[in-house]
Amino acid sequence: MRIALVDLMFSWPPHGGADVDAYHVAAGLQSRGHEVKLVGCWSAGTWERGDFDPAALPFTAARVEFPQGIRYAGSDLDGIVREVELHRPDVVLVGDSFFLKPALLLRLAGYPLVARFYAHEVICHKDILRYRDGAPCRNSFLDTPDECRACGAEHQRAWIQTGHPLAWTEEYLAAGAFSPGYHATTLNALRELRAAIVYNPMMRDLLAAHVREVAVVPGAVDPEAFPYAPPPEHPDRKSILMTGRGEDPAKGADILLAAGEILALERDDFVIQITMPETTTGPAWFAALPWCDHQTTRDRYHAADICVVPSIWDEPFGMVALEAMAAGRPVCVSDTGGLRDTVEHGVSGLRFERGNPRALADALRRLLNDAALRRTLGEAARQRVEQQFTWDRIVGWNIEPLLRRCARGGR
Amino acid sequence: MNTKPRIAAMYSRGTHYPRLLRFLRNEYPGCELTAVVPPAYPERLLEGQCDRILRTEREQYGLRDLRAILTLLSTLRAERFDALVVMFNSVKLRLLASGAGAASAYVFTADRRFFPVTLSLLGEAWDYLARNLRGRITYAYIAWVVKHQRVGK
Repeated sequence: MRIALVDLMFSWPPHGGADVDAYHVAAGLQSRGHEVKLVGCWSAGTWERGDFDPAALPFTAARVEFPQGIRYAGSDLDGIVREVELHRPDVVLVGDSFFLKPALLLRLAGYPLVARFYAHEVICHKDILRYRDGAPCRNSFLDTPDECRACGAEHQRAWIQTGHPLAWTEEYLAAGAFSPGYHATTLNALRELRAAIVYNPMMRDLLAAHVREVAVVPGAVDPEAFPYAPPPEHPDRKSILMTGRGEDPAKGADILLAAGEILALERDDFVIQITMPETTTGPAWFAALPWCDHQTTRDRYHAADICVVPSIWDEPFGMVALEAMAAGRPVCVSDTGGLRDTVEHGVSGLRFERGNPRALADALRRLLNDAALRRTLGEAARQRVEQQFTWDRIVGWNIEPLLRRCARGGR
Repeated sequence: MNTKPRIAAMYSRGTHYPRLLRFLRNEYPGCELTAVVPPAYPERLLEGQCDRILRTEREQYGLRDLRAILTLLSTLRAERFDALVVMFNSVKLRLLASGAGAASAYVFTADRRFFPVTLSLLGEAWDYLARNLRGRITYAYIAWVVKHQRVGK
């Protein structure tokens, strides 16, 4: 098959889980004999997209450049469409993009189309999190468009007024997502899809009424990039690690810190490390870790005794949990979204009630007190990753058959 | 007399400050590199990354902190840096870079682009006002559309 993967947010080395997903799907399909071309873009309007060198990737890639930023959903997409046409694909897989996804799908409607939805793009106008006022939001733009338009406009006010939009707002303006016609455009675009790929059943339910077929396909991890390491020896203070965007309230660092306060009343044998801006201060048992590259992240997992993913939002998948599991670390995760499917409670990690610091403190106490449990859960986690969540398996068992079925002349 | 080029790297709340310091150290190994960081920035993260640390008075600066901003500018001007590097291509930071009295000013973005600040202080101020005016008009239009043109059912 000739496959075009269009991803308007792609960067490599990755900026986030969606980049990791796109890279491994493209590389996996290529290694299975398909001719893959990734089409990404770079925009002067934001640093978030297009930070990659096409020649350094293990598959064909093109980077369309927008020196003036992306300003119009119409003509600005010409370059992207042209790069797809040059590849003459049998199927087009549309990866990460925000408000331009519907326009992109309509422009590519002559091809069999499959789209990957990484978070709540298309569903939420505020941001990809679908998280508002400290709790997951239950609205969906597809069903409550006017409420979502009002919320989206309100939350993007500062970015628009100061004239410094991030990629989310850049696409919002370019796509005219505030206009009433954008809702029909979105529904029409979804109807053009032969299939949508989502991370978990909740996301499937949100899209099911609007798309012909919705496939739940989890993410994966490269076990060699995150090799197993035996538990570290920290006789004095056990290290509890939270990686990812710790400063984002939806990620739940506050819950972990509240759990830390509970534990600090009874013990002083732990330190909580969270990826946050370097200037963040806190109690003696807290340390902010600066953002880092993939290699350093791996080293941080290996140096940690316990990894925590305390997300409050409906985490679609939770790549960091899987990375920590691959590294052989016991994980404590919120009972939410895709994390429910990744971690089997008591077998390959512990799940706790979302947003409940006392429940998290109980889980951490169990792990801090029991080195054997930490080791057992860490080993089982690694095993689960190797058996269920490798890219080879996800691409070979899920993505490739789906694309074959949807491709031109496919069955 | 110190003849090494003196470069200052100005911290902003962002993820790529360590990358900026590494970049400057690699590109200009003979320079004297000063990290300009807020009071709470942990010193351990700067070990081996720079030659000097210059602490600012505040963690963050808003437009209303005029006195503190003037103090910061005066501190930077007194240093007479050969180059000042900021982390974002924002008008506010470029204004700061223009007013800091360094011989040259640069932006180092998160996607590793490194380019000079070319506008004059007046030019930066005009650019800032024009962007804000355009942004406010755009937003007023969007707010009107969202309020008065409904999708309905």
